[in-house]
Formats: sequence, structure tokens, C-alpha cells
Amino acid sequence: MDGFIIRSIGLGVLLPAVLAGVIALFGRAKLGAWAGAIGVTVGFVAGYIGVQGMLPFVPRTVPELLPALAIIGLLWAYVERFWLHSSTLTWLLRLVPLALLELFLYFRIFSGRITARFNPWTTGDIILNLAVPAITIALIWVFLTLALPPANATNIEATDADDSDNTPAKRSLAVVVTALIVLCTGVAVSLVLAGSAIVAQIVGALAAALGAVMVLAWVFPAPYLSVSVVPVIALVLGGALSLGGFFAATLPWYGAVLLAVTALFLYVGHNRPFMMRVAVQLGGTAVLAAISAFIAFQTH
Amino acid sequence: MKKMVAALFVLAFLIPALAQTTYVFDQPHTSANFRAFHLGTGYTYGRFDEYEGTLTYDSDDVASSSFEFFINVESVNTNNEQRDGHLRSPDFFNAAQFPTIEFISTSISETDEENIFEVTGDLTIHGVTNEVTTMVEKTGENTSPQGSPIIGFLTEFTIDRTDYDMTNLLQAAGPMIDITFSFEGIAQD
Repeated sequence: MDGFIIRSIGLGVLLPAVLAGVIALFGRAKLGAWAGAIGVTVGFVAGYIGVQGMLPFVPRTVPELLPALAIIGLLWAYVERFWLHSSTLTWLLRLVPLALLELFLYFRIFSGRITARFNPWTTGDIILNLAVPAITIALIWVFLTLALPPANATNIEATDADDSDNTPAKRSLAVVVTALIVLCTGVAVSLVLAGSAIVAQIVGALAAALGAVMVLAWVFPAPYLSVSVVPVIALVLGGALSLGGFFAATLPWYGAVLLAVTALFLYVGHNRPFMMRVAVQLGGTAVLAAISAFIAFQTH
Repeated sequence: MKKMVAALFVLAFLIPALAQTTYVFDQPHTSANFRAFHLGTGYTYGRFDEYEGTLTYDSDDVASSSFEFFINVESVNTNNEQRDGHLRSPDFFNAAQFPTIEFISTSISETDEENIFEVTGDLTIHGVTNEVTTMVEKTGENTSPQGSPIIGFLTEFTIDRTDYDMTNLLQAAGPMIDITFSFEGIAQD
């Protein structure tokens, strides 16, 4: 059991944190805020390998799908860079191939349930199980996009011009990332309580990778993270909640959606004074995450 | 003469078919049990409560017999609701994604011992199919109170769950799983 704990902490927490931190810190000179997205993704995938032993070439199960979603998210973010100033309409059009790819991956996971010999899914089950991932991913995606600096941000002040006090303004990203870690922790705790410990541990690797960026953002305020990371986090957290929690374990659909709604607090209060923002963003995220964890506990 | 030859020809095919009897599993008298070694300390026992299956048995030509059974993974029962939920999760059986355990025999042969058969077949657990060979004992044949012929079988074998890509939490529940499967079949008309 000791080996299990050492592996969980060493490879599932420290490894992703160190990798994400090193890439975000030393890659920023060349890659700007894009380095944070790469750091978080590389750290998360390394954490996954640390926990699970290897990276599957073709994902077959829900836990295996999460690193694949992270890589898809990073590739999506890379493609997005070429359309930095494009319209909402073209952005929506570009979402189509991503949605189709996701549908394909989800059907690989769902197909056994649709044709199951015992208690096969009804049409309502199919609709609900497709709607929950779509809603959770979309909510996290939208709220996180509002909360994080743009992909081409080079100076943190540019993202928070309303703040009169310069130093707290520089720490605005740190507050968002800290709230994001609170959200990840809420997701992980809910998944554990819903009976999906391995998926929770994998989400923990994402929280650890974000933790390194959080430390950087508090100690050396700068845009270590931008919207480039949004597809990665939205797909991994939304996928973990909807597939690992709702579909495969006992997390109810409203528990998964409530956790996705919690991401709203990453944005709410962004134009308030610094201490008020800390209270609203961290407090709001923590309260909703705690309620979601309670729902998961009650229904398991 | 031609009619007689044709009748004999038809009979030649019919007789073996008549010797074969198809049975469906009798739920109340069938049990699929397993045990796992917990934390390297002691055995934890469990069972599946819902299954269905058929067997075709030919006492004159055992090689032409066949077994197939299907277990509803959701019905796992270890007498602890919280643990059952965990067993259904992606940490273990991943029951939502892989809802059925199934076994379909591919060959059956007699052994030197009376009523003991060697059965080889494809066992699918967690979406992974492996060939397994196990000794199956015919435990008896009788007639049910309703007048239908019934037959009973028992088999015990061990699988390594990592062969079925069930690699999580091996420290908590060891890789080797002992399975005991006892079933009664009721003959179909």
C-alpha cells in the first residue's frame, strides 16, 4: 500500500506539477502564454502515465479517453491560434469537426450500453448521455474563455485594466487559477464519492499541473496561462464529470452540470476590487464544489 | 424403394438432433460466485444476481454440446452496497461501458473421469475476450416437479483480471480471481 501512495503522490502529483511548472516558466520567453497550455497538457499526460502506467494508443475506456481529450484539446487550441481575430461564426463552424470527433469517441464508449443484452438504453438515455457531456464541456469552455487572458496576452495588466492597484491586478490570473484548482478538487472529490477513484486521481493530475502554474502566477505575476488552455481543461474536466462521473459511476446529471456551472465563478467578480474578487471567485467556487460533493455523497 | 431411402436419409440426420437437448438456465438454481484476495490478507466473496444462458447437451456425442452464458455486470453483489458501486465503476468492471460478461464455448471433450468434461471457450470480461479452458462436472440429471428434464453442472476456475485489462487497484484486490459457477438447466420442448 505504501508503494501505491508513493506512486500516487510522486507520479500523479509531483511529476505533473514539476513538468507543467518547468515548461510554463522556461517556455514563456519563446512561446508566451501558449507555454502554459503546453505545460499543463504535458504535465497532465505525464501524470496520467504515472498513475496508469502507460498512454493507450487507441483509447478504449473512460479513463483512457481523458489524456486523448487533453491532446485533442491542445491540438484544437493550436489550430485556434491561426484564427485569433476571426468571427464568432467561423469559430462555431470550426467547432463542428471537434464535435464530430467527440461524438465518435463517445459512441465508442456508449455503444455497449445501447446494444446491451441487459437493460439496454432507451432513446431518452441516449439523449441524456449525449446532452450531459455537451452541456458540461460547453459551460466550462465558455466560462473559462471569459475568465482567462487572450492567447496573445503578453502583459497581465492588459487583461485587467479596471484595477487601479497594479500588483493585485497582476495577480488576477493567480486568483482564477486558484479557483480553477478548487473546481478541479471539487470534481475529483465528487468522483471519488461517486465511486470513480481512478478518474478522480487522473483529474488530480490536472489539478497538480495547474497547481504549478498557480504558484508561478502568485510568485511571478505574468500571463502564464491563456485561453489556449481552455479546450484542454474543458474537455478533460467535462469528460471526467460526464463520462467518469455521470455515465460510468453514480454522479447524478445535475451534480455534473452543477460542477460545470461552478466554472462561472472563475469569471464572476472580475471587475471588482481585488479582495472582493478573491472572496467571490474562491468562495463561490468552493461553496458550489462542496454542494456538488455533497450531492455525490448522498447519491452513492 | 426410393421413398424408403429418403426416409432413412432424413432419419440419419434427425436421430443425432433428437439426442441433443437444449436447456435454459434456471435462475433460482444457478449461481455465479467469485472471490478476490483483499489487501493480501483475506478473501472477499461476491456473486452476480442476474444472468441468462443456454446449453445444448448431447450425452451420446459430448463434442457436439455447447454452453453459453451471459451475466449482467450491474447485478454484482458483495453484500456491501458501497463496494458494489465501486466494483461497477471504471476502477473495476466499468459496468456502464461493458455491461455483460459472456462465455461462449468453442469445444467440449470428454475426459478419463466420468461426467467431467473439458470445456474451452471465449470468456469476455471488461470488453476483452480471452480463451479459457476449464473442467466442467455434470453434477446430475433429474426431472423437475413440473415434469421437465433438468441437468446440473459445476465449474471452478481462476482468471487473472489483468488479462482482461482490469489493472486498477491491484493492491486492494489481487489480480487472481477465483470463479465458481454452478448452474441448472431446464430442458426446452
